Amino acid sequence: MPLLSRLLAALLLCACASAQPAPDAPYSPKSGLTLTDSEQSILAAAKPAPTLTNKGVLTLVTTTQVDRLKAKADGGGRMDDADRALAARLYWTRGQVLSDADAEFLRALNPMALSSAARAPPGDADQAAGLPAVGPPVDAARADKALAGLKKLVTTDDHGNATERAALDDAFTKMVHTRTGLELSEEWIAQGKPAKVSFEATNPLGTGVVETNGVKTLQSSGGYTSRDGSPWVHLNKEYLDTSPSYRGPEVAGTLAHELLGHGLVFYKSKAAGAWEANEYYRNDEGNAGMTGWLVSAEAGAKLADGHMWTFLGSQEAYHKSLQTNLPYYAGIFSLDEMKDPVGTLEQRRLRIAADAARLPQQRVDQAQHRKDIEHFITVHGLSRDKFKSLIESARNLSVWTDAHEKNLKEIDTYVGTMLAYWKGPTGQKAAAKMAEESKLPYFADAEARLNAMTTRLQDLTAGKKPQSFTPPPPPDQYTNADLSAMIVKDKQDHPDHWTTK
Amino acid sequence: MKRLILAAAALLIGAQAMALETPTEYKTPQGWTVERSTTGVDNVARFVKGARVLQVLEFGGSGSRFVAAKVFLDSFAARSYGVPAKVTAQATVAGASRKIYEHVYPIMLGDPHIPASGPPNEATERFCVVPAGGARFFVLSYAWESPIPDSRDEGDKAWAALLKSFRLKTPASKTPPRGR
Repeated sequence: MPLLSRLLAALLLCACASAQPAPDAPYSPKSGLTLTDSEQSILAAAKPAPTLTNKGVLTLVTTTQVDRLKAKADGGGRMDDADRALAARLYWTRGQVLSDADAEFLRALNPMALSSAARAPPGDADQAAGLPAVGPPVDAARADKALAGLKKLVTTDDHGNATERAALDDAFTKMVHTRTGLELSEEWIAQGKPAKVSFEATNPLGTGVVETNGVKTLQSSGGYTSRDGSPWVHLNKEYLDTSPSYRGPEVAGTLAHELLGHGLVFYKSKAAGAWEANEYYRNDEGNAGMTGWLVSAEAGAKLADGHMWTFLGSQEAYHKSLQTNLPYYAGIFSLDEMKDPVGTLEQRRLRIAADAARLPQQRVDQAQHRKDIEHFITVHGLSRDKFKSLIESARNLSVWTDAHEKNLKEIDTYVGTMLAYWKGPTGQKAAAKMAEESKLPYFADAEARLNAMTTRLQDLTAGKKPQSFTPPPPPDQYTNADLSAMIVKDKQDHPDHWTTK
Repeated sequence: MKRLILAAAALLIGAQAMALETPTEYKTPQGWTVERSTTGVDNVARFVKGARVLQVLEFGGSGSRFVAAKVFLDSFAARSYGVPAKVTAQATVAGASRKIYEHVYPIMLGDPHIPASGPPNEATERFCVVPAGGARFFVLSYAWESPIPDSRDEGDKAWAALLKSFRLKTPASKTPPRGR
């Protein structure tokens, strides 16, 4: 496909996906809905009532266009390229208001280019409309009181910069106006301890802001907490360059992760005499993660974090996944594992080796995948241009596999270093202390609290799927789901194509 | 807690019985790596080849992560994120017709401190539930843990063989134990 056309298609998708008007809000030309000229004409002709919602307008213009296509098809009219392009656009961008039957009709007009697997589910209106999972409302007076109390204890340094001041105030306000943020803020106030929060250049490279689909997001660590004396939350200054719609709930979530997660635990574990064991406790991170996820979700952030979903599915799977993700996570323990750090790390090395042992076969499968793509181009004559996205993804997957292998080697080296420490005289002494501290009621309470927070987040996310800022695949590009369907069909029609593959 | 037992490169050949609380028998794929683990009263036998993961999991009863099959099916572990798994087929397993579910879960996740902006890569997993008497039950599953399609039949064949061969062995069973 020519570059200009691809750009136009991408711009169209960007416009549709980045506009996120509230579906139930009354429609106005300034709602943010992106309508084509043809759709504007449909709307003008329909003379909608003033109370028509954004979703109502989308439904009206979409169903009208689908009905026109159906009428043409029923009348024996020949579908031309423009009809198929319209069908593709409606299929990709209007999933939230399409019935299954209409979606199937549109898909059928593009039998090889569209897959049912990739369409936004029509039943999940929240997701399809870009609506987040917002938590229950909190009492405004109670939240304001907590905000005032928190500000007396937590110093915020804006470096004399008005933008930083506004972002800090916004993050604190959003945080205390969520159910979880409010409860934990009140807990902080009750303990009466100090902390500091500021935006800092935590990413020296300054390359963390990425623009996707018209929205600037952060692709670098959101921040960290130093814990010398009292907690100091360093928020990544690059957040200030991200889009406000993204920044608000995301910074509130990061602030909650660092301050109400790590910071609160810093004081509580010290008071309980559990500080040293907490340094190696895997749910110090699990608790901070859960605090941030809950506040983000309750504040209206998109549910895009795969780690959050993994945790909700299985806490064990979450921790195991992290152990082959970054060295630090391979060296922290569950309460049971604290009783035997050496044995735990030795078993962990085996699992790292097992993960690495999967990679050669994965490379074989990836090579087969590239051959499959070539098969449909060279044997079936399909356009190479339409496979560009898949070919690029395959290349990225190969890069990821190499990087993962290197990462596993680094993690193994780190675990080896930690093993040497725990086996040495200093480590043995520390291990005995850690095992003893792990029996403190503090940790049983911490596990119980985390389980309760997990249940709260499960309730909040039940029925939902990941939401993202990225656009759906360009309509002219085949997806992996399309390729799967092609393989299945080709195996039925031409089994000889696959006998020697 | 019993220690995690894992053999990184043990190969299994032919029929295999695993060290589960409830005796079973089933065919395992040749040349796949086997990993076994036990957490509390829950047991896992996991057979891996590249992105292909075949599992026999035993849950249920006091101390189990899932005290009953319904608890498992209602959990996020059996969902596609927050959405319940879909029933995509029906198959005869251990002498009865069982529902085959399908769900997805995230894979290849990056640094957890970097906020995500796009949807994660996904594995697709099929599974069925086999009651084992009392509150105990098995989950048999097959996952393809890669974002690319699998054009080979190897995983599907191993999954089909597992479903076809899986047996619960009662004390009265005349089938002699094999391959432990």
